[in-house]
Amino acid sequence: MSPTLHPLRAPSELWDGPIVDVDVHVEVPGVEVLRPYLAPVWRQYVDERGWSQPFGTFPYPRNSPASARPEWRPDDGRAPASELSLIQEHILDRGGVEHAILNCLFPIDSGPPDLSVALARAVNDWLVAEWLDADPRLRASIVLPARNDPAAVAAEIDRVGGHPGFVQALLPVRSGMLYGKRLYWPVFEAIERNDLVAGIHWGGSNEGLPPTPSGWPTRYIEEYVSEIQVFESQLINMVAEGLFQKFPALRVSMLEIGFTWVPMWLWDMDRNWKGIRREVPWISRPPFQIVRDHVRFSTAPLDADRSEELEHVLRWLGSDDMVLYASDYPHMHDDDLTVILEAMGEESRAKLMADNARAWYRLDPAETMADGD
Amino acid sequence: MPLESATIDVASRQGLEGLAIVDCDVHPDANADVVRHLPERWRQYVELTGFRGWPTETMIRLTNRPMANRLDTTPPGGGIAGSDPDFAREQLLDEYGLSYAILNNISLCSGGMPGEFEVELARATNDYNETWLEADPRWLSSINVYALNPGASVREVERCRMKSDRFVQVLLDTHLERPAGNPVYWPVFEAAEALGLPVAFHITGRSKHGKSSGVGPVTYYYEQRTSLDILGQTVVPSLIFEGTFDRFPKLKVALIEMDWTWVVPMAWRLDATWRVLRDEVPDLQRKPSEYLRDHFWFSTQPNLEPERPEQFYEAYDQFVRAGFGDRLMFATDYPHWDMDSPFESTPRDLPRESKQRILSGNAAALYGLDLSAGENAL
Repeated sequence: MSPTLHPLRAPSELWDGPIVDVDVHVEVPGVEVLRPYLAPVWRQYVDERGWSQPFGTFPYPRNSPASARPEWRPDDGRAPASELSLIQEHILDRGGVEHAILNCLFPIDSGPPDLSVALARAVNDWLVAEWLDADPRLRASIVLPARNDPAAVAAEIDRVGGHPGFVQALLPVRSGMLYGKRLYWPVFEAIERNDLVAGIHWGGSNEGLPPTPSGWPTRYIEEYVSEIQVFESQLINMVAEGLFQKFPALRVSMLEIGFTWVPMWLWDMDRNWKGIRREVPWISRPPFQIVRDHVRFSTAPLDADRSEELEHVLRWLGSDDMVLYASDYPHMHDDDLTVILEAMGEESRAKLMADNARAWYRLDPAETMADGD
Repeated sequence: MPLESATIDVASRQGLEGLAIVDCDVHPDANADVVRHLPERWRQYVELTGFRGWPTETMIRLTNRPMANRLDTTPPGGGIAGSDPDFAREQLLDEYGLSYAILNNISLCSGGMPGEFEVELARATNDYNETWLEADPRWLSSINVYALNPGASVREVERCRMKSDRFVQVLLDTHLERPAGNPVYWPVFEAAEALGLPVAFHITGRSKHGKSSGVGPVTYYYEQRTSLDILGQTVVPSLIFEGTFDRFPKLKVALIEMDWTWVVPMAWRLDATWRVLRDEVPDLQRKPSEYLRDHFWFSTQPNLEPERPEQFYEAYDQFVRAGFGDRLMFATDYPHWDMDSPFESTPRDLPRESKQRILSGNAAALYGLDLSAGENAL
């Protein structure tokens, strides 16, 4: 039974201007598309195992309704979001979309570390050849072998970070170890060096650790709802470890986790900083202020269904720079854009739908005009 | 100002005259005294091995005092803070004129001990808490249980209730082997429901090692101290989606020292996710936010401190509009360093009715307390 969902587009009287969609997923349909981008040794590795998929589990169960909105699920058996024509039809060509940022969550990060590196390189080369070079409206996140080998992560960022299509380094929120830890500092150094955004995204793999401090959730719905706390732990750890003092130009996006939880979590972070700040003396101003300067949040899942309640949350954020529109294509949410556009107020709607993301990801609207409207 | 000379001034009761106060979270931290209540065999075991399995985190607190206690809570007659019920009575019950205060004895959940020991430890803790109950009629106590042994937990709950009806709730760890709603714990919920006792979850627990967050250990006490609500955010979805409340429709759950600020966004996330994933939980009888509203209670300490004072009222009003006005209960967290005073932590401009509900009314309703009996009766 499919629920009746809110329409994807906001009513035109609320927004008919340009759109930057900061969280659009692209799915690797199978290992075979990566073959041209794999060295012979890894092609052999794949062949010997009769592989069509990597070891890792997909963070999104393929048959779960949440993993693809019904109208975005091709009825000919192709995987959702697995071809450019699908994303063009469903997102890019629907008018107004100036840029969309591709986040590929293909689970490259399991098995031997050299394989992870090879798969990450292959996915990134595939993204360049078949997506970024094929449609000027697309931007993408660099897929990274984020576990175990920060040097390899930094090397991959340096290898492809100069490509104008890559605007972000994709870091799954379940990383097995909190991202503020010093082990990861070379990664953030590389991200800053390449003028990229660090995109912390739902999902990932946790080195066998459960994704909650109380053990393994049993149902996917429980796991999905419980994910906010994982982002909260990452956010406070990044602040506590002094990441934003060490890398003062660092920009972080938190993706597919919504933002209604953010102000109160930051109030808690401020409150305890007041009491405990001598333990973390490098935090020289309230954490909320640091986050306002260094972190952005994508809209989906929006959750809130009443604009008068969401208005409070947006006001508590204390800035209309912090929230970036995302469809989270092809995932199914029941986001009602009317709610957030009404809550934003007319003067901030352009920031939500495009301007904030343009500024954050250094996007130039003129670059897409050839193929855009 | 050097820490040693800092004192906490008790502000006036102004604005709260005639309101009863119930404190939902007081910590006896008398580990040595608890150990004295163990059977000889396990006292020897502690002597032999000590308590093993403390996560590193317990060592990164800001002070070398146990449980980061407030400096001036160390009893003048000796012993550690939270070890002298008479001094605690003077410093807490009498000082603030409390009607009741609930003991949550959480200081000995290390995690690396044998199962039989844990069962005996829960019993010893409850027996120790009973010495507080005997010292003043205003003390109430939670019942410690070792949830990984549900059968022993049920027996311990029943044993305590046979002793005194001032054992008012069952206390479970939050860092568990499996999240709170897992059917492995259901015998405990069944017993609590049958006896009409709320089940409380308090921060920390025996299975904390390696999972102080959903991504492994934190680094700083600042993170640890702030990461209270992350625990509530795992307890709630687990209990709801496992169907716990359909099975135990009268079960009441108190989330103690886990903040209340995350509750409204959680209600929104629960329902929004359920709208797309409800096929996965077809047996669920109601919208998930309705379970949150009907089955959960929350405590105040550490209370919300937003950037601007008026934001407290905005956030609290939103919490009330979402249906949680009768669910927030005052707590001090005495004798820990970040204790909240009832006189200073409840914002002055709340309507008197809200103050009454937070300071005592909601707890009195949950625990069935008679507020007319206290010296600060309404």
